[in-house]
Amino acid sequence: MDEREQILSLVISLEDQEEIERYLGQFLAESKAKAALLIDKSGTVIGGRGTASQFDFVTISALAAGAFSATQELAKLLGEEEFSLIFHQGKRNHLHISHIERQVLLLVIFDDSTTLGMVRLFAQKACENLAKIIKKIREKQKDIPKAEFNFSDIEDFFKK
Amino acid sequence: MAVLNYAAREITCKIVYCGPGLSGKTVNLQQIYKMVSPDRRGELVSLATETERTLFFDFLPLDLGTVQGFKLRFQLYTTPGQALYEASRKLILRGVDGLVFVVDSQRSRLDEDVRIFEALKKELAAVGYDFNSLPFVFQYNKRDLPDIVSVEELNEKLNPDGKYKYFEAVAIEGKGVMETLKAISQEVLLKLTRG
Repeated sequence: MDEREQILSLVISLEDQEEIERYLGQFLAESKAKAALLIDKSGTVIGGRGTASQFDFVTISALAAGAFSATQELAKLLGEEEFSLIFHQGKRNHLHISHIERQVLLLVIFDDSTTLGMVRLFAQKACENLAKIIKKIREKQKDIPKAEFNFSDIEDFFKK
Repeated sequence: MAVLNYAAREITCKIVYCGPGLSGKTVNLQQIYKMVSPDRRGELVSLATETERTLFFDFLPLDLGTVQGFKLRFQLYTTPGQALYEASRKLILRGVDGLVFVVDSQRSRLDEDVRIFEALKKELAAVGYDFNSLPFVFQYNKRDLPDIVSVEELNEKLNPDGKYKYFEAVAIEGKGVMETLKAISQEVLLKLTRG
């Protein structure tokens, strides 16, 4: 892995984003879940769709990525390859996490208007489609256009 | 792992504060939270034990402004410093774009600073990163306490080639906190640009 690849490991174009949103939209329509987020394992949101806008998706993603990683480590310690189901059940809202590929997760928030079975079934299909997009993104980004990022643009952030 | 999103015109980077237990990593995030205006930051989340020791991580999202038409977002994380939590530390290091190592300047903690710094390099290697290719700065914290190690000696032990920038800090009073964040931001942007 060269240095640039290490730091810029996902570059999402407008076209990729549209495709991601389309699959997430399709998943929501089929599963009747409230929100679906595509996040990377470091906790960053890559794309999202849904009606659950009252939630803080940035923080949810960071915590869910942490919870997912911790769960996978627990699986390894128990001699399992992975725990395939990660599901947090609440009184009203539930959270389901699926592993799409090595770096990317699908986070689903749903309530009692659907069931865990429906979410699992359609999440599996969505994951297959999303994995293909992520693979395409990785292949494309070998020729990322270079950009100049000037620190002076954000200098005023650091003025107390 | 930085995510560069051309559709949302956003760049998101992960900055991790590491260092020995009780060196002041969480305090750095708490001070940044206080100093940055609420419209430029999210909520500070701390996963801590009842005695306020970090159990898993602290998390603070920041919105640094716009570079080249891209909104630059930084997500700050701390690692748990205690030896017990090595497995958790490795998880947080995944996808890191820049590292701050918070040093406890007290003489009695010097050996621990050095030990944890060496352990960090190994932990990074274990999750597939080469320490030498990551943006990195030191923060020499707790400069207000008695019986501290001189900056020269800290550099000799931790930064012998003078390769990395270092900042003196009294994080609990907010001194040196923004300077450190500014330096690591510069390093990360430089890395994004250099290609």
